[in-house]
Amino acid sequence: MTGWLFSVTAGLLFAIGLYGVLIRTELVRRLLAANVMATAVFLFLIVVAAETPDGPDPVPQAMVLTGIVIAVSLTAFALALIRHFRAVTGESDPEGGDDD
Amino acid sequence: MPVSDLLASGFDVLLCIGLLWLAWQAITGTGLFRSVVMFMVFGLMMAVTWARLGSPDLALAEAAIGAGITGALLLNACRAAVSEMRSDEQPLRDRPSGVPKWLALPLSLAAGVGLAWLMHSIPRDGGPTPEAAIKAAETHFLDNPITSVLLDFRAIDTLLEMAVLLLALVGARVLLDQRRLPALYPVPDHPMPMLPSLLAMITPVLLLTGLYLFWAGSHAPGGAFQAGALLGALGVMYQLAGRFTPTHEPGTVNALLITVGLGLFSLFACLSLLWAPAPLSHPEQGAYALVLLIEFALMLSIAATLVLLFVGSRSLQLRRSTNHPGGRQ
Amino acid sequence: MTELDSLVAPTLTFLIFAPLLAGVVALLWPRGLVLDLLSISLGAISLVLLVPLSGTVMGQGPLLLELGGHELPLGIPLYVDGLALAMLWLTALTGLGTAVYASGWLRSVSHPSGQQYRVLWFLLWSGLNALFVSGDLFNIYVTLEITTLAAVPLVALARGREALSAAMQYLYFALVGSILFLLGVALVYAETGLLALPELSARESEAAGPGETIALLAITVGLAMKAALFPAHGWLPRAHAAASPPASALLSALVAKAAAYLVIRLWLGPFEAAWTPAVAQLMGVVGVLGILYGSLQALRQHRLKPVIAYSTVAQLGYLLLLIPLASVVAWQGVIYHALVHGLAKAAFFLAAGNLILGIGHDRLVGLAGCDRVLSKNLLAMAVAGVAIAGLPPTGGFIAKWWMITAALEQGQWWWAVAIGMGGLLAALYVFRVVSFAVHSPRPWHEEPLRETRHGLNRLLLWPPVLLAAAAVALGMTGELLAPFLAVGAPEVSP
Repeated sequence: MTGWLFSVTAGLLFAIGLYGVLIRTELVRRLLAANVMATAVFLFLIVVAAETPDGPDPVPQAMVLTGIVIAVSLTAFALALIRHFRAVTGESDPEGGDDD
Repeated sequence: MPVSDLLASGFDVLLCIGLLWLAWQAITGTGLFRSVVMFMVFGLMMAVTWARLGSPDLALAEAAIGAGITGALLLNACRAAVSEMRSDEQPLRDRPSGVPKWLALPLSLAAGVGLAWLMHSIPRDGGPTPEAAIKAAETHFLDNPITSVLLDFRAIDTLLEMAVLLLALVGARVLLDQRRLPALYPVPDHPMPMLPSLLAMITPVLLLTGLYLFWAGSHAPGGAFQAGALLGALGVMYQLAGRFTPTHEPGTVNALLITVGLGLFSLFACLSLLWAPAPLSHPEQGAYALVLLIEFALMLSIAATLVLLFVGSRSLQLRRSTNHPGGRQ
Repeated sequence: MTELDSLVAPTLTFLIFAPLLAGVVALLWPRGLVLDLLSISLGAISLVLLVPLSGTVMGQGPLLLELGGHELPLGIPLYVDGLALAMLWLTALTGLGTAVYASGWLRSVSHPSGQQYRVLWFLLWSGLNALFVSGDLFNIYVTLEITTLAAVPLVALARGREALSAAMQYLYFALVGSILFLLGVALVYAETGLLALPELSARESEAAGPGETIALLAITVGLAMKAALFPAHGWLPRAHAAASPPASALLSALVAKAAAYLVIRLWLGPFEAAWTPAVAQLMGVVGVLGILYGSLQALRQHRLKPVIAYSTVAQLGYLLLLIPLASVVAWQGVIYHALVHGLAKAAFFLAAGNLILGIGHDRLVGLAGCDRVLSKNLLAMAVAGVAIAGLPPTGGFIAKWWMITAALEQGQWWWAVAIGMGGLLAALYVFRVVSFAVHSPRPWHEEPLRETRHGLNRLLLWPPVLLAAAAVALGMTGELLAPFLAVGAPEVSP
């Protein structure tokens, strides 16, 4: 029951994330959508880990822990890039200022 | 079915519905701030989910990193969007996207349902790797199986992941070199009256919890990542309280803190060739102490990197004017 | 497992961890000169160390090094065969050339992000080496993220609106690509309980379950987004054209290729049970469409760097032809192609960078007459172009020859036609560029050339010249290198 429930949830979360990535063009929320997609994949892995006979299997748990850190790294850089991108495109003269 | 099981199932159902609703709201809702808050609550619910699925380590990590630090970064983005956007622009409104909704919706739904069915239909019969991992973890010198995977069986994943984290910071610095955006949290001239006492209260709590998590990681849920994220959160609070001054001058202590984890781990990888035929092998004597040392370094680097990513400056200096003692620069 | 040569473990350790430690040093001690010397000497040492490693691979067959001494399926193996070896050589050669170039370039433009460039390069280098020798699906995911998070800032380093916009687009493609890749890894793990590639390859070839097929699909789409394989190529021409010259060279020669490398690495061997000959033909068709589309786009560009970038889209398509062909000769041909293209493309981008440095822009019509000012540089560019087009006597010719031979041997003549057409189109866009450059300058175009401020620094001139020369030299060494490349080749022959 539990595994089934969380598998379905993971699938639907993946769908929501993918939908967001496809339709959203606003950068921060597209990033949120990608994060939801990644979380769905993590959930898949943990369901598998939890249902392993003699488990829980530590390998997927460790993989997800690594995945979470990678996700936060990507998110942090993406947010910095978004902020700078907006600062540049918000200028009336994109090539002006301190761009040489 | 006993009542407790029924209650647990009911809780799971509510949890799943909550997750889906929050994710949907975060992505389709109007208003950036609302989306971000929804996403942060989603992160907290995920932490509960991990706990329900028997992964307290992940629950801690998700709460600290996934919801905490990511949430702080996202709130930063909201603040930046509010303060730096001109009123005549509406950058938060979606431009027409390449993929129309009538196509995107069935496509994503089909993918999601297909995956759910697939995951459900794959038999859970373990396999060679789970069997080997569970067996090896039983006799491992680290009692927490996840820590033994992270720092021994799959140590190179953890090592390279530190490089990923560091790269995020270097990438942010590339942007900083081009254009110094105004600080999101200018240092207040007169700190709020409550803040020092609040900080004085919370510092020992977070510090102790962080150190406990680090210490516990070898035998109980916890470890360098959770502890690092917690210390990072502490650093973020110090910055918000104006105890750290962001500067664009390079700082030696900052540089040491962000690199010590990756540096020490890589040195260990190279030096292990002295006592073993393959890199990243633990020595027979003193492996436990070595792991603790590496984990401590990882914790410091994770905390420092996350704080710097949050602040968006090259380095931080402890403010001298306050008489609060502190080792971090 | 046979006893490994005593040099294998130190060599692989050096290739992965020396650049990583150099990255740490670069952060701690930001002295440009020291770091440039470090980078150049690491490249040289890598080349020296690769010689005995190649000998060992040749003598013993594919090498397997279990990290941490943990036996499979528990631990993570490093795996070196002919394909991985070729990529390591390519990384070391291109890396060395680019390091020399960058040391001159960062000075001549006095770039404010010099330190950041060097850190990014060191960590990227380590990530690439780790990616090429990694024998574990999840570990590959981590190395892919290193290449992504190093590559996107390298694009953004170029400054200005277009660079940031291109970096942003690149980042989103890469982000979704990595999630799809991870999804594939999760599915494989759920179905087989395995992550190590040698273990996945060693399974008795039985029909794979649906999980594995979907996993391969997710992984392939994810990698296609990272490698900019047609039709997921949208970001590459912008990003590679916007980046600074040394970054463009690294991205085109190594980073995009790393993801494409993984496609063939995973299709042949680990996932062999998950696809049928019909699917393989489909992959070949995708590859050919990429070749044709990229080449035609390259012919339509008005600026130099987009021509080279679209050429990368085209040239990556050839790698997919290995999937339908899957023979030893095709394997050799495709690896050789990857090698030659990497060297030539790096030379091309570096030479283009010199042109831009010299005349201040890269509009094709404005290149007229630059052969008089930058003759050696232009020669390097032309030679690199000839190698990419696959004309004799360059290495590109040998690669195409092998690929066409493989196609004809197996009666799949249509791939031979496609390869020939791709070569013809490549020759056209290369000659188009060169002909623009050797035109006599018209009076109204003369002005930019006069603005050429300084003669070309030697550090900037020689890397493209030598890299292009290496791409040509590979034309003479085909027979010599063939047995090295063949190590670990698939034993499939339809």
